Amino acid sequence: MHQGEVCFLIGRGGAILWSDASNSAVLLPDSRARWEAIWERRAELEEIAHSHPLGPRAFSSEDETTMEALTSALGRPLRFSVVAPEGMIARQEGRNVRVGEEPWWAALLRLASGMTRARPRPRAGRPRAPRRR
Amino acid sequence: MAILNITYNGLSADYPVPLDDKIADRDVRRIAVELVRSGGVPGLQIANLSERAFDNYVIDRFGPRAGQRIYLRPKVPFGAGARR
Repeated sequence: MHQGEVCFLIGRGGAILWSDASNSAVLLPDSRARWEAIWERRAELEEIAHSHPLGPRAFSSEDETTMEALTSALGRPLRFSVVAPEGMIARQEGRNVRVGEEPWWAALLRLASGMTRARPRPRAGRPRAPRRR
Repeated sequence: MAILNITYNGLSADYPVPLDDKIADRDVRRIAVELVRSGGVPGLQIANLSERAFDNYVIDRFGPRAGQRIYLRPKVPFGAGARR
């Protein structure tokens, strides 16, 4: 399956306001169209989400500088998030938080990115005793 | 004469500036910092604006050399980059 990074602009009530995609699984290049979409929808924009189809569940240095630029341009903080195979992380009020209960559109973002959700690793602990027959 | 558009702090404003059409991006950023500091851009005056305020901004140029429109806007790429 083809994998590519995807960006969603999310508005009130979790509405998807706009989206675009890349042919690369590790890069969503700069785009004037994306910036215009953000600026035109700034009044209703609440979150900018993008995917890392190959991981990691973390903001990259490129993400960090883009978030900084957008926050200064819009003059108000937004929520930013990354959806990765192993889960979702969000930057809200300057802090990174793991998103436990993912919004409805995270599954759609994964699907559009050609990504499947990684199964959680089994917890380390005492090995179970074999069943008796 | 070029029209320089600056988007910052929730505002987007045009400012006519006599710029060489081949002006380098770094010079556009530097001029924009000075304009915002001095209050030259309508509605956008920040006297203590950092010299590096526009480091993560890109420049889009449109139109003929004479009367060019130059947009200073935030960069918007995202990306996982190389796996760590």
